[in-house]
Amino acid sequence: MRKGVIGLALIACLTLAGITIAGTAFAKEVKLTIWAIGPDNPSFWRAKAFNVAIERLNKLLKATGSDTKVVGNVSFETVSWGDYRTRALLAFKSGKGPDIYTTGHEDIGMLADAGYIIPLDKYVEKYKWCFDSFFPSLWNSVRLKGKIYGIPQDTEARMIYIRKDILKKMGWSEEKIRKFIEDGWKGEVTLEDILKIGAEAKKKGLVKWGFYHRPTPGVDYFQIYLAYGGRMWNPDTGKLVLNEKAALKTLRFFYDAVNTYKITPSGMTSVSWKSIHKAVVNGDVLFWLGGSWNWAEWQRDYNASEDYLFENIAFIPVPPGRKGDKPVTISHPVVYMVSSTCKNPDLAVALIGMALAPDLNAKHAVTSGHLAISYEQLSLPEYKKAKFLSMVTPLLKFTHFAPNHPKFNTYNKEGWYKAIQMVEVNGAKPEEALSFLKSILKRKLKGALTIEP
Amino acid sequence: MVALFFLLPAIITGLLSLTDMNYTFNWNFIGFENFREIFYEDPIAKTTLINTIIYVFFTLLFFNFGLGLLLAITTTHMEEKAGRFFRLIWMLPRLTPSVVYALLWLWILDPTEAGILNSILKHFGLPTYNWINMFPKTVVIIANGFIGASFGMVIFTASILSLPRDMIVAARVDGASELKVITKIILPNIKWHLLFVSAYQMLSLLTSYEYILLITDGGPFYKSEVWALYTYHTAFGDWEFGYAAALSVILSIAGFIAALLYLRTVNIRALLKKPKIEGI
Repeated sequence: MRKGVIGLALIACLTLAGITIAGTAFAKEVKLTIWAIGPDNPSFWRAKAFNVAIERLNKLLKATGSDTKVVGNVSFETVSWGDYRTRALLAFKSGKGPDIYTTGHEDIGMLADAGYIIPLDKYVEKYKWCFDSFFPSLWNSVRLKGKIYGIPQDTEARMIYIRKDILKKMGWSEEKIRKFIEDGWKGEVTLEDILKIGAEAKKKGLVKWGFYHRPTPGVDYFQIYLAYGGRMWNPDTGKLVLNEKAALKTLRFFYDAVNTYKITPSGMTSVSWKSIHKAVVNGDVLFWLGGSWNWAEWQRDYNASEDYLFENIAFIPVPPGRKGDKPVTISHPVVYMVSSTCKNPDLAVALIGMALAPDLNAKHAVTSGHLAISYEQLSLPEYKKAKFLSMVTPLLKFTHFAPNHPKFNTYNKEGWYKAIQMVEVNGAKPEEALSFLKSILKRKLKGALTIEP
Repeated sequence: MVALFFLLPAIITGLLSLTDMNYTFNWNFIGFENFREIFYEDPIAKTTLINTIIYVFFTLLFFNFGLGLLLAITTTHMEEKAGRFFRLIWMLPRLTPSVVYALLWLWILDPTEAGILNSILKHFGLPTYNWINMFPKTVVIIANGFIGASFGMVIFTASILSLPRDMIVAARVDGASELKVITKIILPNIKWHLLFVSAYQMLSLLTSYEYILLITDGGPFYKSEVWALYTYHTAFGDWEFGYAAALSVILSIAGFIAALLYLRTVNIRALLKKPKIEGI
C-alpha cells in the first residue's frame, strides 16, 4: 500500500521533472554515473540497489508518458577509503566526477567546502514520500550549516564483541556471563574492567591476546575518547575540539592495553584485517572493538555459521570510563551525495529515493550487517527475521556521529591515529603522546581547533 | 619536449609550493610560508629526513652498489651458463609487479604464525616476531635492495665482460691471486660504471617510495617514512598539495646538489675526456 503511495507521488513529481528534463536537454536518455564503495564485499547492495532502482524508475517514467530513460553507470569499489577519496577528489576537480557519490558522512564538510556537492533540501522536500519514514536522528549526520548535503544510505553501530566461550573457560558461570553483558548495556562495566578481564584471560593462557582494535585510521578510536568524556567538536563554534583530560585518559587506555596489561600487541596497527578476523572467529582474542558489519563478514568470508557466532560471541556497547556513565557507540552512516556537476539533480535524488526503498535497503542491511534507516524497514519480515540486527538496533540510543568538518580526516588520521601508534609502538608515555597530539593538531588545524583543558 | 615534460612540471611545482592549495584546488599564494613551516615547525620533516639518509645510504651501500658488484663479480667468475642463470634469478624481483612483490614480503613477514618466516621459526620451536613493527627500516632497506641490486649487477656485469680478457689472463699467468685481479684490474677499469651506478641509484633512491608505501606505509609511527613518501602522504592523504609541493621542491634541490657534488667528486670532465690514445 505504502509502496503504491510512494509510486504515485513519484509519478506526480517526475511528470514535472520529466517536462523540465525534456525541455532543457532535448535528450531521451539521461546518463547518471554512480560510484559506490564497500569497502567490505557484503555491502554490494549499495551499488546493486541502483540497478534495481533504475529499472523501477524507468517503468515509472514510462507510465508518466515521459520519453526520458535513465541509463546508469554504476560501479562498486572495494579499495581503501583513502584511495577512493583521492580518486573522487581528482575526478571532481577535473569535472569527471560521478553524479551520485557514496561515502562516509564525515566527508560532507570537505566536499561541500570545496563545492563538489550540492545541498539537497529542496529535492528531499520534493520527494519526501521516499524519506519521511527515515529515523530523524540520521538527518543530523548529513547536515552542514543547517543544510542537507547527503541522504543516509545505512548506519551501523560499533561495539565490543566478547568471546563467551573464553569467559566460560575462565570459570565464569552462564549467570555471571549474562550479568556481565547486562551490566555492559547499563554502563556498569568500565573500560578498566575490559583491560583487567583481558589480562586475566591472557595470564591463564586461554587467549593469545585480550583486546584487539582496528589497525587502520577510523572513527572507532573516538569511542574510547567519548567514553572518557571527550568531545570531537563544538557544534556552537563549529570547531574541532581536543579535550586534554579525556585525551590523556584515552591515550593511557591504549598505553595500558599494550604496556601495562600487555593484552594488545604493540604492532596492532600493522596486523592485517584478515589476521584480526581470524583471531576473533577462532577465539584467539577475548575482546574485539568492532562493528555490526563484522557479523556478516565473519559468516561470508570466515566460514563462521550464525549459530556458532551466537553460541560463542556476545557484545556490549563501548563501556564508559566511569562506572554508571552512559556507554558509547559511534555510528558512521554512509550517505549518497549529488555532485555539483550533475546535470539532473532532481532525477538523481528521485533515483536515490528509489534505491533506498525499504525492501532494497533491507536486503543491504541483512546481507552486510548494517542497520535499518527507516521505521518502515523495521517492519519488513526480512529485516525482522535477522535476529542479530534487532539485537544491535538498541545500540543506536548510545550513538554519536563524527563531525562533518572539512579537517576531520586530518584530526583523525594525522593526529589521533599517530598518537595512538606512538603509545603502542614506541611505548611513549601518554603525556608525551598528548603533547605530540596537541602540537600536530595545532599546526595542521590552526584556527579550526579548540583545545579544552 | 624538454620544456613540456620537464621544465613545465618543475615550474608548476615551484609555483604550487608557494600556495596553500588543498582539496579545493585553489591557487592561494602564501609566499614562503610552507618552507618556513617545514624548516622550523614540522617535527615529522626532521624524522623523515633522518630516515631518508639512513634508507638511501644503507640500501645503496649494501645492495644497489655492494650486492650488485658482488653478484657481477661472482657471476662473471663462474661458468657462463651458471652465471646467466644466477643473474636471471636476481632479476626476478625486478620483473615482478610491485604490488605482487610487496605482497610477498607482507606474507613472508606477517606477524602471525601464518607468516612464512614466523611459521619456520615456530617449526623449530623458536619465538615468532612482528618483523615489520620491530624492524621497519631494515625491512624497507632489504625489500628495496633486493630489487635495486639487479640494476648494478647488469651494468657491472656488462662492464666486466667488456674488459679485454688478455689483461686478466696475463695477470693470472703472472701469478696474481683472484683478489688481486679484482682489486688491481677489474675495479679500476670499471671505475666509471661504479660511479655512475652509485650516483644514479642514489638519486633514484631519494625519490623512491613505492615499496615502502606498499609494505610499511611509512609506519609504524613514521619509523620508515622517507621524504618522498611524506610528500606523497601530504599530497594524497592530507590533500595539502601546496605543502607537498614545497616538500618536493626541497627534495629536488637536495637531489640536484647531490648530483653536482657527485659529478665534481668523480671528476666527470676527466672521465668524459677523449682517450689520450685517440688524440695521437
